[in-house]
Amino acid sequence: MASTADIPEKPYPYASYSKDIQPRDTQLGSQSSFINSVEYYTIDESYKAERKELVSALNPVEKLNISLRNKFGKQINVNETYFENIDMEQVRYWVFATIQKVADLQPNGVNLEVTSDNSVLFTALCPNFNLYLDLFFENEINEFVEVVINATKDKKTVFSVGGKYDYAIREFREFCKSEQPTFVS
Amino acid sequence: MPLENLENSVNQSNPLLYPNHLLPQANFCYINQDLSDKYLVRHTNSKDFIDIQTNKLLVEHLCSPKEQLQDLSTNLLSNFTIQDIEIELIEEGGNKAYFQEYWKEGVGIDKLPIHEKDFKFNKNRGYFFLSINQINGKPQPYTIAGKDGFYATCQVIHTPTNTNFWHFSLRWFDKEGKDLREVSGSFKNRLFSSARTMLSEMAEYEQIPHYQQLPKSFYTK
Repeated sequence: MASTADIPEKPYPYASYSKDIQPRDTQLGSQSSFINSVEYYTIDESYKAERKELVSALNPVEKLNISLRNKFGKQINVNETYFENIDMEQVRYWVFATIQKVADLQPNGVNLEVTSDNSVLFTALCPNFNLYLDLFFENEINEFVEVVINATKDKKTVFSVGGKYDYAIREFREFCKSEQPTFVS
Repeated sequence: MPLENLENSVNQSNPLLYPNHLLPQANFCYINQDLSDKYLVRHTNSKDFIDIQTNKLLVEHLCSPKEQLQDLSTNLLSNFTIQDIEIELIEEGGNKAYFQEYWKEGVGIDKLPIHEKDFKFNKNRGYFFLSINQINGKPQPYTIAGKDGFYATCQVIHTPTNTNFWHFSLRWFDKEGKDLREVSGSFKNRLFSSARTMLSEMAEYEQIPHYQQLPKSFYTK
């Protein structure tokens, strides 16, 4: 089965729309002649079609995983200053690990927000509860700090934990066992 | 200029003058009546403040950074109307600090905000509501060092300012009644993440709740 590993993120820069493609050696100069060429356009279109085919073969959890990764990437690009002096490799590592866990819950709706508190907040509407998971990163000691997880049901908090990642996830897993046995990863 | 003259000079029919019904008066007093059937309204910086996947408020519009939660500004939906949401104090006006100062009971105000100098109408703002009954006095659990049993209780407090008598604050207190504005470090993360969760769950935005002006006996001596 296809997985996210089969889909290259962005093997080469491509024009977003065909209207962006300009005639050879005009506005962008000779260095961009390939990008502006019909050959490039053809490759780009075939890559998009291939990617579309691969994505359509993914299961809902894999699709959600990709969608959340893309969302995170876009938000980080816009709000880069929120994570100034923080090791972005660490941030990506923990965020991607969490995306996988949230996707495994198969929520009915999910959102991810990069916040000005140096955190990434996941909001997920799970079948039996609403999940709020905040990943906090510290810019002073240059490392990942902690996670705060709250779950609500009928507008009341039914689960709350904060602390180191492994500890909080373990506690949350215990909570999920009683609420949603499908949470396994 | 004496306050009486200032007040008389406010023409309610002129939309460019600061709304008189928001200004505290010398004969006003803090509201100590039961307001549990009322709603608070809070502005957002954009009308586009809902995530369509979850139908929840985007956190940047709910309160961001989270420090705002220590003392979250809201307004009592009553004499303060939906239209008043658009009023935004201008930083460069020079008097913003005075206008945002807490009002002292029994004291009138000696400056009026001037349109385009001290305040403007921000048509881009959106708003959401919080039912006082659903949040006031309600404990919100959070953990410290892996231990359960910590609760922060939300209190709705009347905190009128020199330009808004209907200003209310949401603050959080522990079991012993200690104000949690002073918490620090990871406690703060845990406390305010939990508090934000509660507000996200309680926030209403789909329709404007029924509201009416408060009886004068609620706020006059």
